[in-house]
This record gives sequence, structure tokens and C-alpha cells, in this order.
Amino acid sequence: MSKQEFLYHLETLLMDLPREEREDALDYYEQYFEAAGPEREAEVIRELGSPERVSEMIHSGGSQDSAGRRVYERPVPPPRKSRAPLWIALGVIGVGFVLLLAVGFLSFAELRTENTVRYSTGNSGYFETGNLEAEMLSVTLPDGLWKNNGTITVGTAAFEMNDGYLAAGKLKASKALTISVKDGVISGDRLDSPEISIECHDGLVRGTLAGTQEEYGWQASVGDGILEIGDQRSWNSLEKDQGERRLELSVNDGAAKIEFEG
Amino acid sequence: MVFNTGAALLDAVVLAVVGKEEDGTYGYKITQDVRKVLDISESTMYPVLRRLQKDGCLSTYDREFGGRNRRYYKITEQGQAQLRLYRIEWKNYTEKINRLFCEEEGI
Repeated sequence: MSKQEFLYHLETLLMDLPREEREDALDYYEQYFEAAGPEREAEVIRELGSPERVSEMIHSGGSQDSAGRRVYERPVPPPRKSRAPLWIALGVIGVGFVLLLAVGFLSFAELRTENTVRYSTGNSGYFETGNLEAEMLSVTLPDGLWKNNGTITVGTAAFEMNDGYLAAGKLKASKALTISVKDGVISGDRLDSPEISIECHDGLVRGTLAGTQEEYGWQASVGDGILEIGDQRSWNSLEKDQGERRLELSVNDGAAKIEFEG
Repeated sequence: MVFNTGAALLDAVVLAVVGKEEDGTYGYKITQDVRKVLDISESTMYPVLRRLQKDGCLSTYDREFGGRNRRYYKITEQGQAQLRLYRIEWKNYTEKINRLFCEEEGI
């Protein structure tokens, strides 16, 4: 495992924490690796144990002595963690403005036709994008990691993932945004669209939507888990008829927490 | 390591280590210095630092190092007061045990 893999994996395990706490922890470990130096990278990973171990430490508040143990309060039930390693089977067809952090062999191409950016299945690696503008964005991954580090502005965006981590970041889809994940983690720092549809079979959804709670109407349901939209909470379903923007959310086994920017 | 490190002892050692540096020090260095004294794993340190910070015993600030951000931890007045308490507790604790061990040995 490399330092980058370690940190990515850790990031997904900390998804149930508030963003500030999660980023604080990730910053700490990133800086830790930096200070240790590349020569010590493997040794540090060995000493830290595993991303799971570090996550466990962070969630429980540390301390080796059970008598002095403190426990951070968990706002939602534990997320379903993907047991499969984070592969990205992602083939990118088209123009290469994508930053690539790859592990193993990788052959890809990214294609841009008529202002459509399409990512679909291919070989393994981790993918991150910077700023992106297009009429349509389509991402289809069987397993992997797709992370938006910049700002994406599109007409429609459609994400389909089997098993992995989708970090949509700041994304504006002036027409519609559709996300469908079978087993994984979906996060969005700022999702801006009049029609948002999120479907997660087994996993964790965490997003902040542009605008205020009043602007949105929604239809949301969860099978086995917890649903939180703004200040509404339910173990079954939530509905709100009024709202110019629509949110449809369905989670089978997991947790969803949707917050509003304003 | 024969004796388990409890939460209080770990806190005390961390405060003492950070307290030695007038301008504070950073995570990696704190871990290395604590490990010279206690046999703890590198993954233990962050939650402890975070908790001490939340409790008001440590404060943090960022300083640029090698073109990147590096977070420094510094002991606060409250942290120093806490450390003083720990020092007193430690003295009591160890004095009693030392006496017991020495008595047994007939030293």
C-alpha cells in the first residue's frame, strides 16, 4: 500500500464524521507522512497498522487503556465499509486534463465529443479531476475512486458506481444530477442542481446542497438505516411536497445525511 | 513494555513534551519524542492531541514549512496547570510504589 492509498482509504472510513473533523484528521496524517519523509513511508504505514486501525483510534478518541477511554459520539450508525480494496477500474476516454494517481497498470483514454465528458470502465487506478466544464458528464465505474478536487459545471451529470468512493466535490448541474451507487460512499461538498436523484443500495451518502432547505422538496426513503435531510430525521422515509428544486433519495442499507448550504 | 500506559499518563507525557518547546512543536516530532519515553503506537497520538486541544490544554497554529502547511501544537495556560497537577500526582503515585518496592527488597 502506498501513502496515497492509505490516505484515500482512511478518508472513506472517516466519512461518518463531520467534514471539519475528517479533514483535520486527514491533514494531520498527510503532514505526518511529509515530516517522516519518503524513506520512512513504508515504515510509517507499518507502524500505523492499517487505515482501519487509524479510523478506529480516531472514532474511539484514542487511549490504550480501556479505563481511561473516551468515545466520540457518532452522529450516524457505522457506515457499511467496502471490504474490497479501492480499485478504480476506470477508463477515461478523451482529453487529458485529469490528474492521475495510478496504482498498477493503467491504460486509458478520455474522449470529449460534442462537449460530453465520459468516464467509463477500464483498468485500475485512482482518479482525481480539477475544474471541468461540459454539457454532459457521465461517470461509470465498477470499483474505484473518483474525486473532484475543483469545480464542475455541467448541464447534466450522471454517476454510476458499483463499489467505491465518489467524491463529487463542488458540482453544479444546471439541468439534472443523477447518482447511483451499489456499494460505497458518496459525498458532495456542494451539489447544485434543480433535479437531484441519489440512489445508494448499500453505503453512505453525505452531501451539502446549494441553497436553503425551503427551496427543496423531496422524496426520500431508507430501508435499513438512518435518513437525515436538513433538520428532518427518519428511520423510514421523509417527504416534502413544496420546493422548486427536487431531491429524490433512496438508500437501502446505510445512512444518508443531506445538509443545506443556507 | 511491561506496564500499560493509561490515558492520564499519556496526556501528562504529551503535555510535558509539548510544554518543553516555547513555540510549540508538530505532530511527527511530538510522536517521536513521546516514543522515546513511552512505548506507544504512532496511531495513538492524533486522538490524544485532538482531545487535549478540545479540552483547552493545547492550542494549534499553522506555519509554512517546505512550501506546505505544518500544524504546530502549543501548551496553553490551562495545559500547564493540568501538567502541574499531573506532576504532583505522579510524585505521590511513584513515591508510594517506590517505598513499597524498596521495603520488600529490604533496601
